[in-house]
Amino acid sequence: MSPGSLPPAFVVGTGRCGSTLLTRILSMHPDILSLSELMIFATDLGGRIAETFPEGDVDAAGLWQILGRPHPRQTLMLRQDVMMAEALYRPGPGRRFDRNSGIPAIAATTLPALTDDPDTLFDHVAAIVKELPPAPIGAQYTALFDRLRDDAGARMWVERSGGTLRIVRRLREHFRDARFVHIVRDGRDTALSMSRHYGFRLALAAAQITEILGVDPYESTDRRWEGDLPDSLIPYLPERFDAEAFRRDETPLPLCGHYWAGELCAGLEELRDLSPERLLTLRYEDLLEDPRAVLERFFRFLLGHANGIDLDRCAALIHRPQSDWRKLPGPVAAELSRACRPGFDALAAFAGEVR
Amino acid sequence: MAIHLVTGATGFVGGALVLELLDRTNDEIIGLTRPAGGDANARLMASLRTAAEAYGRAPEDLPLHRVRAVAGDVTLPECGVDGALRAHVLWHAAASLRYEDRYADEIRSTNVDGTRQALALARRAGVEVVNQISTAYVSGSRQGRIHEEHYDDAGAQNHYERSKVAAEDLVRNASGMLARILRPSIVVGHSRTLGATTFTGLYGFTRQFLQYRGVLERVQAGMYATRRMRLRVSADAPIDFIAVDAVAAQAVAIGLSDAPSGVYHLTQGEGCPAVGDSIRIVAKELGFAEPEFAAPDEPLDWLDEQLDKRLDFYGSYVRGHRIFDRSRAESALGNRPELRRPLPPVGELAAWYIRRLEDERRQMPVVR
Repeated sequence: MSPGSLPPAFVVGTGRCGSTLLTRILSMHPDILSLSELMIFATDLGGRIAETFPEGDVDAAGLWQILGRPHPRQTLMLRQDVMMAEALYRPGPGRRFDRNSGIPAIAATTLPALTDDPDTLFDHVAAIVKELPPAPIGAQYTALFDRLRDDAGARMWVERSGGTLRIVRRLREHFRDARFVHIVRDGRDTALSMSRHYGFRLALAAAQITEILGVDPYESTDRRWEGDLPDSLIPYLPERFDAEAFRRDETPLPLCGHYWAGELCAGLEELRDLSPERLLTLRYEDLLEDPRAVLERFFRFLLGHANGIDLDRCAALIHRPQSDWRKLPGPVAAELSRACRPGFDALAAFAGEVR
Repeated sequence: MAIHLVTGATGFVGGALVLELLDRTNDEIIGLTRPAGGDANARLMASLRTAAEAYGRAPEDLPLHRVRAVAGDVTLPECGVDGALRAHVLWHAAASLRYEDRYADEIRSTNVDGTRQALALARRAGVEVVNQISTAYVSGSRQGRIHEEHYDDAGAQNHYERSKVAAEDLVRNASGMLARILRPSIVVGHSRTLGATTFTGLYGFTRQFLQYRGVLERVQAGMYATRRMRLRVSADAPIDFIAVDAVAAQAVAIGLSDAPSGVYHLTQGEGCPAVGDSIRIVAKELGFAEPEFAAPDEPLDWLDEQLDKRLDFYGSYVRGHRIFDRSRAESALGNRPELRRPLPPVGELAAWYIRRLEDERRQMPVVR
C-alpha cells in the first residue's frame, strides 16, 4: 500500500437500495477514487461470477478477458436498446465502442464515471494491465485499482456495484483487507424498484431460464429443454429477444421480494463476523431522514474524518424516491411483505447481534 | 413373413416396440425416420442401440439386419416417402409430447396431421392393420372408471390431449383396416434396468421440480429445503405408471393377436402408487421439504402458483380420481403373466433421472 493510502472499501447491497447515490457522493470526495458498477458488469449481471474470480494465478490476458472484453448479456441489452440507465458509455461519433463491438465491462460505467474521455482511459488501463505479472485475481484487481487511485491522487478506492451482496463472500476472500459498507433499504420498496429495473428484469429472467435449460442461455446455444420454458420467458432468449415485450414486462413483485430476502439472508451471513472497523451498515431510510448525519458516519468510517467535502452539497443530491410500497393495493402489499419477511427477520437478528 | 412399418421408432415407446417386434417375430421392420440433417438409417440404428443398452441388452446381439429406415416425416404428404413401399402392419407411435400454447400448431401438425399422413402412407403401402399408440389420458378431466371406449375431446385439458383424441378419431374411422388404439398410461423406464431414452411424464414432472428447485436456489438459497410447498393435487388418488417394456410387450402381444379393432388400455392398474406419495418421493429425492397438498380450488401463494402453472400439463395425471379399466386388454392378452412387469419404485425411477440431469448440469453458472 502506498504511504498515506487507506485500505479499500466496497459498498454492497441488494441493488436498488440507494447505493448509486452513495457512488455519486463518493465521487465528490478528492481523497476517494470511486469505481462504479465494475463488478456487476464484470460478472455480466451475475452470470459470470466464477469467471470474474478465477482460481489460481491470472495473467494479464486473463484479467483483460474479464475487464476489457464485452460480455453477452450487456451486449444483448445494448443492441436491443434496453441497456440500463447506469451504463454511462454512450456510443456515438468518435467513440470506440458501439453496438456491433459491444462495450467492455470496465468501459460501461466505471471509466465514463471517472472521465469525459473513457476511450483514452481505457487505453491507459490496458497498458497498466499489460504490465501485470501473473498473480491471484484479487491481487490483480488490487494492483490495477491502486494504480488508478494513485493516478487520481486519491487515498483509497471504493468499488460500488448494484447487487454485490451476492458476491460478498468472494470479495472478502480476494480482498483480505477491504472494508464494507452495507446499505439496506426496506425490501418492499427495493422490490418495487427492482421489478421496474431493466438490469434486474434480465438477471431474474436469466436465472429462471438458466435453471430450466440447464445452461446459461446467453452463453450457450443448447436448447434441449426449451419446451419446458413457460411462454412468458421466451422473449428473453437472445435469439428471440423481443425488446418491446421486455420493456412492457414487469418482474413479478413477489419474486423481487423473495430475491431481496434471499440476498439479505445470505449476505448477512457472509458479513456476520466482520468487526465494526470493517463493516458499516447504513439504512437508506436514515439517509433520507437525516442525510448529513448518515454521510458523516459514512465518511468517518472510510477516511477517519468527514473533512474535505461539503456534506450539505452532498445532502442536496438526496431526494425521496417516488416508488412507495404503501401505495400498492392491499393484497399485493401483503404478498410482498410476506415474501420479504425472511429478510427483515435476518436484519433484525443481525442488528441484535451487532448491538 | 410380415412387414411392419413403425413411425416414431426413434422415440421411447416406438424404440421399445421395434426391439419387442425383433424378439417376437422374424419379420422385417421399416422405421419411418426423419433424417434430421443426417442419414435416417444411421439415426434409427443409433437410437435402437441406445435403447437396447438402456434396457440391459447388448446392441451387437440385436438382429438389426431385419430393420431398415425409410426417410420421411409424418408432417409431410404421405410422410414424404417417394417410391414403392410395401407393409402389412402400421405401428403409429410418432407423436409430439409438447404442451405449451406456443407449440399448438406443432402438436396438431405432428399428432393429427401426422396420423392422417401415416394412414395415407399405410394405405398406399397396402397395410391391413393399424396399431396406434395413443394415451390413456385422452380421458382428460373425466374421473372414476375410465373405459376402453371412444372419448370426445370435451374433457381434454391441453393441446396434447385434444390432439390425441383427434388422432384416435382418424384411426377409428380409417376404412378398410383393422384399427387398434393402444392407450398406455404414464410410461416410465424399464422394469429391471430403470433405463429410459426420452423424458416426459414422470421424468418431465421430476425435471420441472428440479428446475423449480434451481430457480428457488438462485432466488433464495436454501429455501426449497425449509419451506413446505403446497400443491393442488388429488393426493389420495392412484397414479398409473407402466414400464416401457411392459407397454411394448403388451402392445406387440395384442398387435400380433387376432384382437379386434377398438381401444386397449396398456396400464399398470394394481400396485400403482398414490399421487401424494409419488410427489412426496420425488420431492424428497430432490431435497425439498415435505410438500403439503391443497384442494383444487384452494388459493396458493405466488411461489406455489408458479409451480402449479408449470405442472399444469400434468393435471390429468395428478388431479382427479381415475381407474383405467383393462377388460378388453386382459381379454386380448389372455392369461400371460409374463406380459405384466413389476413397476419399479417411483423413488428409484426419479433418482435415476435426477442423477442423469445433475450430471448434465455440472457446467451451469454458479449462483454466488
